[in-house]
Amino acid sequence: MTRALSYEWHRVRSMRATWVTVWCAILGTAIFALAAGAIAGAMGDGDLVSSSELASFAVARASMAPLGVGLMSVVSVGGEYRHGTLLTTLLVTPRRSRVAAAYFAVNAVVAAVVAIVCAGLALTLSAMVFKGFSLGMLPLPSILGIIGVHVVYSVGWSVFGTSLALLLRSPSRALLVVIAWPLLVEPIVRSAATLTGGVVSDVAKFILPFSAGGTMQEISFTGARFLFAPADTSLSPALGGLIFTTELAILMGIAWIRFVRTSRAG
Amino acid sequence: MGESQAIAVDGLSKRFSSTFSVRDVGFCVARGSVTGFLGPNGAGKSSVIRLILGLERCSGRALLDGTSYVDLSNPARRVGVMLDRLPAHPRHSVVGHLRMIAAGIGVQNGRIDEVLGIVGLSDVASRKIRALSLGMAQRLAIATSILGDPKILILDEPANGLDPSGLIWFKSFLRGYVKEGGSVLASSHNLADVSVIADDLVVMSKGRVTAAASVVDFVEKFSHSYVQVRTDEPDRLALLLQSRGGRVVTRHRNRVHFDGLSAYEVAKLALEWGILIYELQDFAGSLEDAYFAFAEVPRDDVTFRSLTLSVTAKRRAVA
Repeated sequence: MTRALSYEWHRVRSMRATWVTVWCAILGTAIFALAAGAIAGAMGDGDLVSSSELASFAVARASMAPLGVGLMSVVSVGGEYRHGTLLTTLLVTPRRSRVAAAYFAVNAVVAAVVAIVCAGLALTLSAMVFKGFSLGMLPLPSILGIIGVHVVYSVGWSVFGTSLALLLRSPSRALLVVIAWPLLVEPIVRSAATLTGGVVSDVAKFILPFSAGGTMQEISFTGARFLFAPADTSLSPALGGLIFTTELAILMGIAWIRFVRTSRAG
Repeated sequence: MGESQAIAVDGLSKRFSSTFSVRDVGFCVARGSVTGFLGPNGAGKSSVIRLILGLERCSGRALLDGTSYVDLSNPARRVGVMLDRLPAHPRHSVVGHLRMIAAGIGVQNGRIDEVLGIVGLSDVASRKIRALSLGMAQRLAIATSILGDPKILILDEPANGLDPSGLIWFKSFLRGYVKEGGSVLASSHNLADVSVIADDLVVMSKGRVTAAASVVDFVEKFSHSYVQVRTDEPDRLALLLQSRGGRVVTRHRNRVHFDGLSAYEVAKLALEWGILIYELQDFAGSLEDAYFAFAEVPRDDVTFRSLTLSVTAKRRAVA
């Protein structure tokens, strides 16, 4: 397994697309962090918005790590099918379960690192823009909690991207789904469900993974919510996180089984 | 599987939708030998190689050093593989591609310089793979296959795209590899090359093995040896030789091809009868002749299997 991980790490590191997506995520985060700080300043009263909510808001809304690592995972694994390099991978590591494990593990590690970098950048830059807020106002456990949840959310995106690449075996189709599902399909479905109201709205909250995952990041340690939607209209962060991780774990299981049982090498 | 067999394939079958692409394929590769894997396009050679390597699911079994490829611990250190195309990222450099594989199979980077030197790619180590010529890509594929210093090589059309000097290099490389105890299964379309390199051969047609034998046995069995004679009296010579068991194969003006008699016998009889002959030559059959003679007849199953395969290694050792 160590050799499979080593091979996959070298492979991911040697791809230009990996670095392009990671640097785009970091650059995008810098731009959005400045914007998020400005928006928070415009929306909330500096005295009423808690530091923890502001910090959560900056990370949740500004960090481009989730999208970046989702795309990177698709390009990394999908490239195996596109360029036929899956054959080389399977000749080095013939056990498909180990190859799948290496894909998910290496992409998850990269996702975690990128999430930490982007969260740190988002916090730092938004603090520079939002007057009256500094990172020193937040206790360390709160900062670690916010970053930890963001890491989980980003790893979820990487699992989503990796699973889609394995299921669809086409980077272009997988890229389309990775972008369209969380950013287009889910918001439309959620809005439609909200307009319908009642049970449909409640069911939508529990079914849509990225909507649930989004609420996971809406942590306000004081309980007061000014920047995020009111607590009674959305899931609790804990329940959102549970739904998000469970649904992605199921998707990962399906992709894993399909990849391990498939008869073709690409 | 005997100790003398590096590769043993038994009953490999693969079905695509309702038809078999490979059916009940079985053969073995003797240790310390080169086995040529022959057959027309679409015969199933590449499919069989992929099945041997566990790249596709199938029925039957293929053992390499007594173990299936999937069950080998660090297989690239035991079996070197070259597929019909180089599965590499086009933007990777030559050395980057090899470094990635070296990391996966636990080989030191020093070995990369060594294999690049062996295949003659040291000068283009930093070149992108997409910028390589077909011959260079083939050499890189060979470098990749020997990176783990394996004792078995499975090569799919290794000579494709190699220029004449590349071919000469490749033949000498294979000779050296086998001399050091390596075993090779190599598919090829080039019968002349196979006849020079291979000890044994496996012939496939329509997804089945139709012959598995030593090259010598196969050529002896299916090629046609004859004696070419040029004389001023072809009619008289033909009549006389026929009376002594000879048979006219072809005749064109004063040139006659006989079989059934050796060149020595023809010369002796011509002298006896006072017939002037001014050319006398023995033509031994080539692998190409034998292959096409064999392929002329439609065959659905193994029709020729000699028992000398397993002794090839011993024969080579004695030589």
